[in-house]
Amino acid sequence: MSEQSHRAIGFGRGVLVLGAMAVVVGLAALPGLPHPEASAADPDTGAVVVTPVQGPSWLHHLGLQVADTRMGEMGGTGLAPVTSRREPTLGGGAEGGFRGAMHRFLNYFNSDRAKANRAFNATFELTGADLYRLNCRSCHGPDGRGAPPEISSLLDPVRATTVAGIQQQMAAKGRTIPDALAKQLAAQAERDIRDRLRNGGKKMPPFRHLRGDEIEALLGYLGHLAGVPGGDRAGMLVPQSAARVGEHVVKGTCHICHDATGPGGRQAGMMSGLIPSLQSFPHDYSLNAVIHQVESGSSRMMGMMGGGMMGGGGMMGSGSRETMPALPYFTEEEVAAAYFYLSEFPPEP
Amino acid sequence: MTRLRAGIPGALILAAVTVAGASAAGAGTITGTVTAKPDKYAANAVVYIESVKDSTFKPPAKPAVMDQKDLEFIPHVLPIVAGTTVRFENHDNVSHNVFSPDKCAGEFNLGTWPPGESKDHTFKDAGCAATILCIVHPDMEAYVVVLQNPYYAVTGSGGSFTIEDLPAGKYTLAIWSEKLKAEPVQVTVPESGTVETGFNLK
Repeated sequence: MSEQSHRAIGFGRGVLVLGAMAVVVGLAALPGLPHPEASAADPDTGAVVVTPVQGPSWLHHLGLQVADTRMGEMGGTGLAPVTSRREPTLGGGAEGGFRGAMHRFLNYFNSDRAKANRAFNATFELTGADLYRLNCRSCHGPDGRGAPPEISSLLDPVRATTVAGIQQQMAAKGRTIPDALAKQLAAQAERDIRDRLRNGGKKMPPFRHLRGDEIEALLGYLGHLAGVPGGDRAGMLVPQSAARVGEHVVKGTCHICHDATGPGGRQAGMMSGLIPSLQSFPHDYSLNAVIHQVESGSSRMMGMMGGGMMGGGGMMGSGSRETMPALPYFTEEEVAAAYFYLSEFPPEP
Repeated sequence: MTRLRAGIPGALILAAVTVAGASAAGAGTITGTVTAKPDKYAANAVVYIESVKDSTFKPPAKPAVMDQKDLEFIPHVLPIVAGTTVRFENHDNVSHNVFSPDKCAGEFNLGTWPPGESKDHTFKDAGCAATILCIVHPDMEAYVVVLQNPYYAVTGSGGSFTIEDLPAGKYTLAIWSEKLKAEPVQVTVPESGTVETGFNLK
């Protein structure tokens, strides 16, 4: 909560007032965790259930400033890979898969909301690799190595989930391990990693929005990254919708730094250091502006000009990260899905 | 798994250990220096009296402590008397696991626990240098060296060691190092004062 008030000091009265507003909003939401409880596939319709993003950002929850962390900026500069997701998929599913669904959604958005809505919620399938990219990559990086010591590599914990991986580790030390102990350790490591995804850790947020089958697919891809056999879950495909893709992007990535609700882009544009809320995006920015921002990151110019105009200027040349990192590994459709997820499922405090 | 002193014939051990365990005469000190190649192994070696005959030593009532911080076990080497309980603490920012694949320590696995919590394990049998590992952080490694008696010392950074309050008599003084080896030496501890000796780890 000291984040905004701290940063606002020295920027003039108007900014201080806005800063205080942000603090109030943040406080109101602080007791809750930023991620809501798990959403699951609807038992009756089989449709993919989607819930709004809630509460303060993960950094806000931890009391961290964006300059103090590598979280959210480890995704690398690589473009979105060609995915092995199947398009089109599932019976009665979205023609043209995710891309087709998004294009139909945009076509109908202004003319036929029912059709647009159907397109936004039509099902297709994604891979564990896609889920990793949408949820995990901004912190753990394209290869899973993270940024130790702040962000742990996930490769060793994943290797430890298989007897083969444990035996490899022990062989590297020039020793052997009894089979029974290796099996026990592997089972424990598997429980630990599931517990970590569900409940988070001291620094890692919980990923309660992930369904059981999504976690299986994700673990399959983690095994691939760690070079251990993936078994049945290697290459697994899981039902998704465009709305669900948007939910992954927002809850898994954007929500690390952006509060669900609070001051938005119009105010934030004038203030160096204030991170606009997720709620404000569909109101304050055009889709094209957001796509551009996600692809290129925001330049420091706006923040510096804002500071200068307010007579502050103290932030200039501080070398701290005040701006949004580039996330070029998201496709335009994925960013659009996130943007419309925020308008169709309004963020909650 | 590591059995201590595997290379020394049993007969030699028996012949060497002729301790004046019964007489509660004076007590002396053993001091010395360990050299090693590479140099770094001169530190963190355990110098210990192999066996004090006809004596049993009660483990301490309070557990010995091995902490985990900044992805390291602290201390790296922990000598204890057989029967001692070791409390594995976690003052790190992440959860840790503790296990040992060594048969002489019972091939134990204590599970995984978060910062601020601890778990205990009792090391029953003397003569075991148990490797302590964490399954999620394979670079973490430490040793619990389980001994028959409390007359031991861990060498400092320069390889120096001191064992005090040792009843006068003849002893076999042995050394354990995580990587290197040296033959034990015979020492005669005086009624009072200091006897000097040393090891060259290879």
